[in-house]
Amino acid sequence: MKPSDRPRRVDEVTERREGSMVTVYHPLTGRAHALNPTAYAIWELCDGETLVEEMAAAVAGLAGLAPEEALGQVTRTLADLADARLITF
Amino acid sequence: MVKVGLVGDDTDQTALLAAALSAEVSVAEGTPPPDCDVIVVHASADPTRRVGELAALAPVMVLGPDCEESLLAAVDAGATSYLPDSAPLAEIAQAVQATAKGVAVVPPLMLGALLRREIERRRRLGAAQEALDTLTPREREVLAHAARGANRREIAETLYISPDTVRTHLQRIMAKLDVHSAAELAALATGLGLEEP
Repeated sequence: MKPSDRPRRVDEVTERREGSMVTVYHPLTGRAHALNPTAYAIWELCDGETLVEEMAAAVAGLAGLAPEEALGQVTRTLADLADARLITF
Repeated sequence: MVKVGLVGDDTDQTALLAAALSAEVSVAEGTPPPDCDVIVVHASADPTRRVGELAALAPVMVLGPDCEESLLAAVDAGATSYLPDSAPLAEIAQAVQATAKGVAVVPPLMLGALLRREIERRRRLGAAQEALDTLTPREREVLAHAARGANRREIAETLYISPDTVRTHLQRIMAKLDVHSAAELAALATGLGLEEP
């Protein structure tokens, strides 16, 4: 994964909100995944246009993190989402 | 104990909130005391109306409708934190204490909207930074003075040009930077750090 990648949510995935957690269901894998608020926020940003580096810069700005720390967190979250086949690059 | 200034337009609701919070924090209703640690704005009609002015005194937490538009409006106005006014009192009390320390608290599932707004803000700044390169040296001077809050007459006196010339410069600057009001221009200039001498 590169900072210049533009991840995109998989269209078929459906979501259900429960309190401060979101469960997403992927009909092709038949699996449901519970996303914490941060993972859900990153998942929402995966529109196929937003760069990974833009996501990281926004997280760094709002959370007061160092840019490289924010990039690490965003990259790990995106890798988890990609492993679950919830996003593509 | 954290000192809270509580501002609201519904006396009964504000009194209820003050009573509920008073077990954990020191609450002053009405005009916020000058030494308060955090200001809570609880208003049903237009919760962001006074936020900008109050944010200069202390971190502001807004209690408003449970919708992303209200959250974004509050944050744009200068609020540090935002919670729906329907949030449990214990959650509000915790958020008040966090906000007093400068920690932002927003509804978890609205974090995406906040990040999206931040990304758009950074894109606008990036585009404006590129557009800055198209300004003439004189236009940059005018913009720098405008960013510091100088009006047209003051800029004219400082730069030894006429107010009409200043107006022309400002119109060209706004066209180049794609902004449509003096307030928008000032906000953009501040975002670009142009108000520094």
